[in-house]
Amino acid sequence: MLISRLELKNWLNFRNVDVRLRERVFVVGPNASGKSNLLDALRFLRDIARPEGGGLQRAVKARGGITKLRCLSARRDPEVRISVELAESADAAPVWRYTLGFKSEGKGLQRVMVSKETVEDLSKGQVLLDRPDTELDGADRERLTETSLEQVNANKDFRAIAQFFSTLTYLHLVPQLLKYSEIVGAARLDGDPFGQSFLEHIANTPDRTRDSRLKKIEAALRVCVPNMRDLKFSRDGATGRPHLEAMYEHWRPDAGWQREEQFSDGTLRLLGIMWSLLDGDSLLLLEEPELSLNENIVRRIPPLIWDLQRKAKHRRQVFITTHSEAMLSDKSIDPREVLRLESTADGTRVLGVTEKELALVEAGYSVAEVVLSKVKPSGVEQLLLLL
Amino acid sequence: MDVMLVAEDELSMAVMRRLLSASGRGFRIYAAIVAGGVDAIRRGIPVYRNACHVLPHVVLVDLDRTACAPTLLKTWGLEVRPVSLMFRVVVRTVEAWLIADAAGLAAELLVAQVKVKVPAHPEDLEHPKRELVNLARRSRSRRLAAEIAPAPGSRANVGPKYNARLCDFVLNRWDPFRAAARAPSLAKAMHRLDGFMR
Repeated sequence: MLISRLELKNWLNFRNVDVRLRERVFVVGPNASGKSNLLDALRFLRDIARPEGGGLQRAVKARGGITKLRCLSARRDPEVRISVELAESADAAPVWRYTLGFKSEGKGLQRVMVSKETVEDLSKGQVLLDRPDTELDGADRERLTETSLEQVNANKDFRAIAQFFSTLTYLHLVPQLLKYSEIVGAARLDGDPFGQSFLEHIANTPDRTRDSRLKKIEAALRVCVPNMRDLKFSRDGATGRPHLEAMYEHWRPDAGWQREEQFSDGTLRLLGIMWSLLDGDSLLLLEEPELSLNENIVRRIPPLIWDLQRKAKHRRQVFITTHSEAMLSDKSIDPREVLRLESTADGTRVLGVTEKELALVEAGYSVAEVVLSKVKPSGVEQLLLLL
Repeated sequence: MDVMLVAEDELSMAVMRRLLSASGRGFRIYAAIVAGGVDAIRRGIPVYRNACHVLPHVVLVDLDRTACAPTLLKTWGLEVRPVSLMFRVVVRTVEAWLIADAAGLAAELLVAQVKVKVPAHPEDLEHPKRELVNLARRSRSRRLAAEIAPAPGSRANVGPKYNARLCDFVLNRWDPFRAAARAPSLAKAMHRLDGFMR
């Protein structure tokens, strides 16, 4: 399943968004235009639906309360609303529509209250949920502090949606945190966005699945790190700590085995991304996968993702935020896969592809040339003068 | 009218932006593609040929070492091109067009115009960029010189703020009309821009 359409109202720096989405979504935009905020709308749904410690109140609180969440340029309308359509594939008709609206209680404890929650089964044309309803919510206002999505008792008829949201992965792997986890001993955030438990996660995967995944990853990785062989999982004999090891050819022959702490930052990031692609069956959100990678390798990320999406048991939809010209110069990127963020005085707008852009790509331009040349801040050279 | 701009580097792009606004034709820049070198532009020609039917294209390229503009256009297969594809060649590099506004450049670089011989025919210069850097070295402002010219002993061609300084000059203080009097290829480019897509 994938999210085929996303609508937002008053979410962070977005006043109004309505975009169609495909299997890969490249999110581009200038710095501070809100690329991560866009992904955060989806993480928010995960945080509500998550079986352990999920829920609307907590998800809002984790983001600093509703006053931080609500779009600053939202004027009279106090409601924040997120709506998604789910489909089996990008070109198929949507199957589900889930809508969640909420606002501050406006008095007393100033809790967050559900102002609208609907679930539609679009294939059958049925409305499975429509809140607030007069019967239950009308009788007990307390009910509106929780969504039906977060409750197993209430989401029975649309459990598939709750499961889809709750298994969504957000990955912004920070190689240093992985390499120096023992020394840093940093706290871990919910959902492990920085990949600190990446190794434990691999360790907890059944042997056969793990080996087959590592084999696929090694094959795909060969394009990028040609001298790496025999990627495998191991445990430290003394401490039992999980490790990844690989043989590096052209290295000193007797010292060819390297552990993850010796892998380059870029290699580790790629490993994390590829593992995630093979791992889950829900949406995968990747922040700037191009970091610490050579341009020639970045160029190969889009085909790599495509490749692994097909090798995986479940094809995951992937959202990628990026600044990279090299990544978007890949000619196989369908311009419809790109969302461009544009900051305006009235909040950030999210733009899909225009007819003109489609025509320019058809004429032979890459998405990078057509889309990124617009995203580029025009005054960068001038900015340098202010220093 | 929306147009697509293509240029070799940031400085050439700044010059194009300035020329577009100086033309008074109300062109809007749909997208500005800094191709990154002359080879990239050459490779892009088939694309520009197709895409100019979607959107008028203005492409600027340095003549550099090629003998003359007609030779370049011939070897690149551009003698015949669609009306919506404007292809202009700078003789020899875009720095020559900057030098051609001698008064403007002297004021910008804080060099006394009488002391410095700004060439009367900058398009004849073999290495306009070197000339411009040398001019900056004679600036009364040490800081300016250090920004535009490479540090003594450096093997780089330009200083760290070469692009920033000169783009700013081009966009805000360079006078293309004054420069056109000394740079025939610039005068021609402006003339063509004036009649482009009319």
